[in-house]
Amino acid sequence: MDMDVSQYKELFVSEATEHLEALNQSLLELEKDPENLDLLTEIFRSAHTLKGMSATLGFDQLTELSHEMENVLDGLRGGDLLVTSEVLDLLFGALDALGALVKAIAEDSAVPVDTRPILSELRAVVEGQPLAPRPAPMPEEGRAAERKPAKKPRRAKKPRKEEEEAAPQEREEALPREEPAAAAAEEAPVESEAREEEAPPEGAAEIGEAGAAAPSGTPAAPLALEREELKELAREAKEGALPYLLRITLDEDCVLKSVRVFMVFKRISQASRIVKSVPPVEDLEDEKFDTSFEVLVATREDQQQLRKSILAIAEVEGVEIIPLEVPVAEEVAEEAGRPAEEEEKQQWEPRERGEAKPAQAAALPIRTQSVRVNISRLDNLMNLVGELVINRTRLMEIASTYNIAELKETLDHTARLTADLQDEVMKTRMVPVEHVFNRFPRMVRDLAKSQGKDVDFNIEGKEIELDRTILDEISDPLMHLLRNAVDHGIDYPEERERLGKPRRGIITLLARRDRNYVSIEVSDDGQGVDHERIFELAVQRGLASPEEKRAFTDDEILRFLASPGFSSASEVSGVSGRGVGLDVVKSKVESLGGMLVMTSQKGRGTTFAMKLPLTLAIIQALLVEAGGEIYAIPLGTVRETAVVDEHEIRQVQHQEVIFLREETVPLLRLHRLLGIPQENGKGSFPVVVVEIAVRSLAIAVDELLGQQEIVITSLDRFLKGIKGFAGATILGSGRVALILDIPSLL
Amino acid sequence: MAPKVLIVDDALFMRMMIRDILNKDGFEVVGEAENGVEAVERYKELRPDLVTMDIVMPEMDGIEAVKQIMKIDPNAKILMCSAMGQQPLVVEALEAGAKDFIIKPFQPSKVIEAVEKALKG
Repeated sequence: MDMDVSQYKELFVSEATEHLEALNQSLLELEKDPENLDLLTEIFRSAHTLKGMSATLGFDQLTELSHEMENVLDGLRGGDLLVTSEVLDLLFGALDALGALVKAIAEDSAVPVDTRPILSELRAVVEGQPLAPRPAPMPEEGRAAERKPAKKPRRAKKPRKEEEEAAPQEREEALPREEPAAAAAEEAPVESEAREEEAPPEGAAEIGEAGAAAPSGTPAAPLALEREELKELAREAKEGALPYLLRITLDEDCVLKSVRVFMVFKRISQASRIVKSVPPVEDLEDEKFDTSFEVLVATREDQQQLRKSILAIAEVEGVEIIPLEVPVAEEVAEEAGRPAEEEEKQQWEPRERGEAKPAQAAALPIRTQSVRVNISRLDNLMNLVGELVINRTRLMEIASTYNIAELKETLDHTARLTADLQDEVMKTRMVPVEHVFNRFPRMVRDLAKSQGKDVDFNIEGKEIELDRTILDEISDPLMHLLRNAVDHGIDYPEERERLGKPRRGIITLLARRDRNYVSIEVSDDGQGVDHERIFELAVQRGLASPEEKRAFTDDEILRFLASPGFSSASEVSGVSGRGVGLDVVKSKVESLGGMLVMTSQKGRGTTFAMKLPLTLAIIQALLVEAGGEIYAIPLGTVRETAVVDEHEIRQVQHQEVIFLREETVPLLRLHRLLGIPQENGKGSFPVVVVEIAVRSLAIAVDELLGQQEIVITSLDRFLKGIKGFAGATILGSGRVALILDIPSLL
Repeated sequence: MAPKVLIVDDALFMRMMIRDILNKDGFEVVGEAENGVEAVERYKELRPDLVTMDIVMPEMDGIEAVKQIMKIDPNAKILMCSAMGQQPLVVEALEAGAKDFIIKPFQPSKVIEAVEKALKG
């Protein structure tokens, strides 16, 4: 392969991955709907495209594997194989191997992927076809099978194939056929064919040109002509068509030689008449020749013209044109020849385009065009927009300080533009969650199958969009949650039956938009979380003392479950612990500025919800002041603001609370949280009531400053460990404000 | 003036590759299409000097697209791009009016040769 692979690798990997995901998806659908031919066609197409791409970059293992997979799919499509669970498992297996290969390419991994077992399994299915109760392929396909083993001609293609092969044969047969009966009677045409190979029969003449030695690889015999062929040449000569021998050489690495021959023949026969070829047409078709072959033609066309027209075919390296002597005219009955020739000619011309089905085209939708952009470009763009927003805010401040009306006006306009710009950039970064969701049906299926559980997996809200960066990050946590749902949520079918539930468990993965958040939820209708058992475990782990025993809320239970090292799969198996990796999930979701919520009903099921922000970069925030510093509270979390009097504060379980319209809301004094002294004696102060999911919190501050758009800058790694802050932002005045991380405060 | 080429392939990756090969040799890629339907639309709109056409594509395959394009413009020059194992389809496309074909994996020199020949022929 003389191409620079690295240049295309990234694109290759990303597109190949897409194809693999599509394949996975379609195979899963096929499992539910094995009769769906459209689905099979789609799967075939994906495998085929993958093969073409892989071959282009010289990824041989990928090419080979996708090729074998294609063969199996072809068999399924043609009805030679049946879609059985074994075949599907095999295809899934092949898909995994393809995935591993693509991954190895992506990571430049030197670790070899062994594809031999799966390859031989795939081949066995194609060759053995033990699953299809159909008769063996028809014997006439033997020749084709020889040319490309393991590949059975598909049904739809068969008629075409026959045409292809039939056409040139017609030509050979046509020659004797057009001979008038009277002339043919002189000879024994049946024998003459056989004799031709060894020595020219009596009635044949040698036409030759001294220097025309046969090229290597072609039969060295001199050009021997049958009497009929001579007669034909003579007849053509009378018509003004002169005989030539064309020696055509193809490129050494020409791939489909037979098709090239077909093209050459087609081109020649447009203006000339083909009398004979060496080797014979059958051999040319079977590619039983090296790189060159000879064609005897009779033509009125100019030599140069002929040469040019043949050379215009790709992979034709050379055309040698050798003029021949016009053979001595024999008695020929021309009248009989004419109609036959015309009839034959029609067969060689491209079949009429009448077959086209234009009606189909009009109905099909046209897709919008798209461009693939590296995500880092979008990150940069977002950062630049962020800078722009900061500068705009800054200019606004200057405009109001100096009270310049004109500047204010222009800035208002700029504000609209930057808002639009920001909106567009944000939209660009949004991708439907299905990009990630689509990976899971397969995983859930495999996992359930391996554990002997029966699970229906539903996905809802695939179309909901989320920032690409966030989406990428939640893939692993989601996998944890789904794994937990299968492992610990859903019971074995027998157990479920005993509990009066249907044998088949249901796991639902759902995405929905929730104001400024996207909620991604994993629910199961399994056994639910056993609070008492979790509490016991918490006591064992020293996370709680036995005296604390009381009715715990789901939130508290989740806190136990999600504490690092609370449980691992081996320790919890058999009990209803659900802590596997939950700490990882929780911290990941929180690092994205979201939160994890659990609701569970014993015996009825469990739901884990990840509440995620739409985007990470620019948000609307409420600016507040406390202890002389400015803080930003993401507006998405703000429910309301209020002014509270000191004497309205009550104590409940050692916690300050306020009453807001009969609702008890815990109060958090920002000063205390941050360890700054509070100015006393004011009597009343503003609070910001924040809310995520169903939890609320009132944050006491010194002053409310107003609403503003802020650009989030993440804290660098020295500060990252500090709880309570999601990041920082630069204000119009150039001051830095910390952004409160509400989920961690709740 | 550089000859104008329309690239039709359902794989973005293949389109990019062909585009690069053609660009390097001074051809102007005026458009891309990712299925047969789009190919026909774009052909009408762009009237390119040459089309490179994949065979196996969603919506409408390359052969059907060739047929439709030939109907719009009997002088259209279409070069089929096929993966191995598609002989009958290639022949069908040629019969439908495609000028020539190239086989994946592509070698840049072969692509250029085929394109140049198809443009001349």
